This record gives sequence, C-alpha cells and structure tokens, in this order.
Amino acid sequence: MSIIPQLLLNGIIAGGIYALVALGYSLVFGVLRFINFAHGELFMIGAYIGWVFNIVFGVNILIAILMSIIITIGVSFLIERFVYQKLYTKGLMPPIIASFGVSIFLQALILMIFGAQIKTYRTGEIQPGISLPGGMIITKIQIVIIAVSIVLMIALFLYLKYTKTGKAMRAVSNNYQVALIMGINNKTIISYIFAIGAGLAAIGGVLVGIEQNLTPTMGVMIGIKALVATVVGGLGNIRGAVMGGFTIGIIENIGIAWLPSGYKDAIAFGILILMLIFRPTGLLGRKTEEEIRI
Amino acid sequence: MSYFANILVFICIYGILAISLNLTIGFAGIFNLTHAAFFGIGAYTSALLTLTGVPFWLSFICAFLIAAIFGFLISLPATRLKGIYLAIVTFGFAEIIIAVMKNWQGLTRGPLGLPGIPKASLFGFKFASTWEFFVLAAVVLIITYVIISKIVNSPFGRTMRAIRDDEIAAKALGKNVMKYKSYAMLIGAGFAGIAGSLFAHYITFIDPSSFTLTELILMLSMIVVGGIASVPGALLGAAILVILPEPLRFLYLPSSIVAAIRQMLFSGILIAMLLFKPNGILGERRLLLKKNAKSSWFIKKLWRG
Amino acid sequence: MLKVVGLSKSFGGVKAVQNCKFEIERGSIVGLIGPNGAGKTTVFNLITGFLKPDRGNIIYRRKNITNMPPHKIAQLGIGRTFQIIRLFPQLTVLENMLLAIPSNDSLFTSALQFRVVAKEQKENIEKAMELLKFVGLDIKVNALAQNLSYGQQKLLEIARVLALDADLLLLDEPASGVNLTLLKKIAGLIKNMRKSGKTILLIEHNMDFVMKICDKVIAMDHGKEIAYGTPKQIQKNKLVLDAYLGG
Repeated sequence: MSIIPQLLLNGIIAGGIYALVALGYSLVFGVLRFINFAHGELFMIGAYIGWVFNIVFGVNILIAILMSIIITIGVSFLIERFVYQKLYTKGLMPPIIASFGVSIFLQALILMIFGAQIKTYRTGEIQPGISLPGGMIITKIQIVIIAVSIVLMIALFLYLKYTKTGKAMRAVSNNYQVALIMGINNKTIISYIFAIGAGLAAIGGVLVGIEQNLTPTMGVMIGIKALVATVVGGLGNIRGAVMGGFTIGIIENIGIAWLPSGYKDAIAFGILILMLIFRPTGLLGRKTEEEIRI
Repeated sequence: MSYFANILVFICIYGILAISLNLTIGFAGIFNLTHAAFFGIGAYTSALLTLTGVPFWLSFICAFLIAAIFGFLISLPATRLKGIYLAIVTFGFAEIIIAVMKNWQGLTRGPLGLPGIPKASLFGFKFASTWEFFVLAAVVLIITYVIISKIVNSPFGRTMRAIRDDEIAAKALGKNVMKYKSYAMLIGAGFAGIAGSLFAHYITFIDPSSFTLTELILMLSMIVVGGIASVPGALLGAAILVILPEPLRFLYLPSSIVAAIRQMLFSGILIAMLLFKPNGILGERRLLLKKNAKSSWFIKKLWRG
Repeated sequence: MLKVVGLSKSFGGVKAVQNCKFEIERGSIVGLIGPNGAGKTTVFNLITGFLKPDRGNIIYRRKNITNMPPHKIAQLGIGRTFQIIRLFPQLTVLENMLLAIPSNDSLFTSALQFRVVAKEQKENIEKAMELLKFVGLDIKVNALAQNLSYGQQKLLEIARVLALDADLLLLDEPASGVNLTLLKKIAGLIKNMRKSGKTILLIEHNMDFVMKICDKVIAMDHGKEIAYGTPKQIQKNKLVLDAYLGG
C-alpha cells in the first residue's frame, strides 16, 4: 500500500504533538498523582494567545510564541494556585472533578471572547508541501513541528538529568517526603513542573494552530489523546509519555488504512482500554500492578 | 405556561440522571465516567425501537435493559482497576460509544441524528403536550427516587457503602466486592438508560452531541452541588442547575454567547462548590473528603511512591 | 487446622517470605513474632488471599485455599484484623458490625422480601448489640466509626471480627498502641475466644503479651520461620534472640 509511508509520517507528526502535551500530564502525575483534565485547554489557550499577538497585534511569530508561553504559564499558575492546590489533600475525586470544571470553563471563556468561528494563522495561500521519496508530502510547518518536538524533548531530558532544578524535580517525583527532608522546596518545584508542562503545551498549541486552525475545542481531543498516551506509556513515566505519544500517533494514522476514517479517534481509546486491561502499568510504567489492580 | 412544564420535564430527566450517577459515584464510590454514554444508549435504543414500530412502554424497558447490560459489561474490566485507572477506562469506553454513535451511520445516522421520534404514548394515550409528558416524567422520577433510596438504605446499600469506604476490609468480611460494584454500575446504567428514553421521546430528535463528556460534567456538577451520597441532594442539584441558566434566555444574546455563559456558569459553580462546600448542600456525611486532610491520602500515596 | 507448606513470596528482588512452613492446632492461641520486616504480615496476607504466593500451599481444614480470593477465604471461616485499623469510617459502629454478621445482603432479597429482611435485620442487630456489650461499646452504637477513639476503634475491630463467627482468627497486632487496661481487656477477650472453640494466630511485638496468652509461638526472621515452641522454649532460643538483637 503506497499510502502507508505518508500515514506513518502523519503519525510521527501527530505523535510529536501528543508527546509534547503528554509530558505535561506525566510530569504532574508523577508528583501529585493527579490528572489535570484541563491540560488540553492550556494547549488551546497557547494557540489563541499566539494568534492574538501574531495576527491581531502583528507581532513577529517567534515573539508571539514567547508571549504565548509566558501567558499560558501564568494561566496555569493561577489555576494551580487558586483551584487545585486546595483540593489535592481531599482525596481522589475532588481535584479531578475540579479539573473537569476548569476545562469547561476555559473552553467557554475562549468561546465567549473569540467566538466559535475558526481562526487561522495563515494570511496568504496555503503553501505547497515538499515532496519526499516514497510519495510522501510534508509541509514546512510539519517539519518544524517534528523538529521542535524532538528538540524540546531532548532539552527536557537533559534538563531533568543534569540541572539542579531538574534533579530536584525527579527527587520530588520519586519520593515526596524525602525531598522535603532534603530541603527541596516542594511547592516551588511543583510550580516549575506545572510551568514546564504549560510551556510545552503552549508551544504545541501554536504550532498546531499554524498547521491547522484554531477553535475553542481544539484542546479537547488533543488533551484526551495525550492523556491516553501518558497512560499507555505508563503514568508518571516521562519517557513513557513520549513513547506513548508517538505510539498513539502512528497507530491511529496507520489504522485508518483499514478502518473507516471516522473511527480514527476511537483507535486511541481502543488502545487505552486494551492497555488497561492487559498491562495497566503501561509500556514503561513503574508502578507495580498491585497499586493499580485490585 | 408550557415553558415551565418544559423546565420541569428537564428537572425530571436530569434528576433521574443525577440520582443514578450518585448511586455509582457517591454511594458505591466508583468513579464512573460513562454515565452520559449510557444516557445515550438508552435514548438510541428507545428511539430506534419505536421508529420500527415497537410500542413505547416496551422500548422504554428495553432502554433500561440494554443500558444495564452495557453497564454490566463495562464493569467487568473496569472494576478490576483502582481509582484513577477506573475513571480513565470508563472514560475510554464512553468515548468509544460516542464514536460508534457518530460513525455507525447505518444504525444511528451518525452526526445527523434521528429525527421524528414518536412522542411517548401508553395504551393509545399520546403524551403530546408538555404538561402531559411532565406527568409521565414525574412518575418515572418518583419511581426512580423510591427505588434508589430503598437500595441505598438496604443491607445491599450498606455493603456498597462499606466497599466504598474500604474495599480491603469488605473483602476480609467475606464480601465479593466485584459483584457489588458490577451491580452498582448495572443499576446506575439502567436508570441512565430510561432517562435517555424519556429524553428521546420528548425532544423527538437525538444526536451524539447530547451525550458527550460535557454532559457528564454537567451531571457531576449536579451531584456535587446537591450533595454527593444524598438522594434528595442529587435531585436538588439537578433542579438548581436546570433552573439557574434559564434567566439567560431572556437577555437576547446571540446563542453561542448564551451557550458559553451557561457553560461558564455550571463549571464555575462546580469549582466553587468543590472549593468551599465540597459536600454540597445536602451532603451531611463527609464523603469526598478523606478523614485527616493534613496527613492526607495523597501524601501517603506519594511517600509509598 | 491450618497448615502452611513451602510458602514463598518475593516483591521485585526482595524475598519477603521464603519457604515458610508451620502448622496451627485447633483451639490454640499461637503467636507469630519476629523483628520488623520478618514477613509476618506478608504471611497473613498470603493466608487470607490478599496476596498470591509464588510457591507453596496453604491448607485449611484439609482444603487447599492457596489461590482463593480473599472474600471466599473469609466465607470459609477465616477472619482477620489489620495492622492499621480498617473500619468503615463513614458507617456507624452498628453498621460496621452488621456487615460482619453473615446475612443475606444480595440486591434481590433487599429489594423484594421486605418482611424476611426486616426479621433477619432484627436478629442481627441483637447479635451485634450482644457483642458490642461484650467489648463495652454498646453505648457508642450509633457513632460514626471515624469518631471513635483509637482504643475504641481497636475494640470495634475485635468485636467485628468476632461477629464474623469465624473459626480461625488472624489478628495483626491486636495490642499495639493501647494502654495497660485495654491491653488486659483485649487479652481477656482473646482467651475467651479460645474458650468458645476458636483458633487464633496473632502477630505481636509486645513480648509480655505474647508470652502470657499464647500456647505456642512461631518466630520468623527474614521471611523464614526460625523457631517453634512454647513461649518458654522460644524465650530461651538462641536463634530468636539473635534475630532480635543481632543483625
């Protein structure tokens, strides 16, 4: 089938985005055992803010991305500080239900401010793609997406491995109590973790906004699939999040060679369910089965 | 005048949804996110059956049964998992169900939905007007309320609450935990199904967009507002969240703005309740909150790694 | 009554229980002692089905219960308490008790046979009250379990496991964290259990307690049983002393 290489390429592009967003879920879950269902909305907000600066204010795209990162991190900080922080101690359900609320609230807010009409970054004609061997076509922005995703992921891994703050994050993620004893300021580290997640999501949002378009609900599916990717890779495992992201991206894009294309989204959920039934720790998960299964 | 009847009908339908969701989440402690999908399964089942000539009362019952069967089937893999994983897997099932609704065009006409669903009728009497339908819906609501209250206060309900509180201790006392959880999901799903049937035969048009995650979050908000683990609380929450956005109708704003405000309203209330009054208006027992908020569950969990 | 043979369980690389073997006679009170990490609670979890052994067999009254799920084991007549108290915090003292008393709480009987259920309820409530009086908790009957004091919770746990009407009781540190008076009371309760024909295996760190009420003692260290005998014999056993004092 000669379309497979193209589908594979599409899968890698999508996978890169899923991986970027999935990292945010994974980092947060690793420390707080909390899944922020509103994370996808940070992706969406990043896209819109970048759009505002780039198209409405006419600012250079790189500065627009920078502003998007800063403001999205700010939003994430506010939400974490005023909503989630108070709820972590209250059990399993309150923070997650709250994150549902935040997700809906943010979508509605953007809908109200910007309206439901699709917005785009493009002000000119659609650029033709570049032809690659194997009959594949890739556009410039898609190349940028892959490149940026990979660069960011490598940067993150290096950061976690070699910098002081990065090591502190791993410490907090591994063992909260010990990290406290060792004098690491956990609250600050947690804020940094949220910030990194938000920043990555914002970048992903702008890139996808450029590649496709903007709607208030663009974060929903991406967020959900990134969550699936995190679970597939193993909740709390950062490498797993990346692996999961690419896995989902590739399988769902190749899958539509056989399934009706409307079921593309459902493929991710199918993978999710199979994973949870047969290998709930995920591909690279570190939690033992006894913590997941009853 | 039928404007008020319309509101009351929705209070009934959402009341049934909230009470049955409360059963699984509040009383059984199963963080189940498929409820809106079961609502949809009931609606589609009932609609498709009546569209092929089956009388309403039979479609209604089938809606309950089919939704309950789905609830049971999903409970089999789901109840083996803990907490967050249970939530995620039920969420996955819900999304798959919605995907099927959107794509199995031959059965459901996909995103176009099913129009022309016959109005409910019993023994030849057609519930054509809104007030007439309200009577039907109210009766179903009352029956639901009574049945679920009875279940919650029975020995079965007690065992379910025990499982919610401490599954391991329940097992040590000889309780087959998975069986109870499956029953809880089955019943919850079944009642969501009959709510779906009522919905389908009232609006006479259904499409997948009424059964998505957003609807589920609305239902969650109802039980959080009214009080988790309180049957009257669920009904109260439903009433409040149905009535509250109504004044917006009279402001002559464009519909997308109204929709946005409505969503901000209920999500805002949800967040506010969780922050300030997590037990809801009528929830007397501390259900969502774990006992020692300071040396909390999550810190212990973190420490165990 | 209970026989454990070749029982082994590892977690990752850690051998929590290695080739453990012992036998409990009916009607006796047996203590299970050993330093922290010796594997005692793991053995309990293996016997009661909360963990599956890697190797070995557990035989209760000639029946092999090795891979049975915990609720079935409980139904066979083996009751247990936990190191950390596991009551149902949002339920009342009475409700906690009623859950233990063998009764019919299936969905259908609850929904349908009102009068039968009511009668059984009444009988069970009487049984529960009797046991509560026995341990001295009858005045607290409608209090939420989470509102009891630590000592009261300990007593409730014991009353609840008695309500199970089990023949073999596994008590995990029944005397930990309680004052002397309560300690004596719990000791008395356990001796009473033996009088009613129950068999008891208990984990304890309080040596005084163990020596006073146990007929036999099993000592464990590093996942293996290292000694078995009467309390007096164990007290003099070199291996046991080494395990507690040495490394």
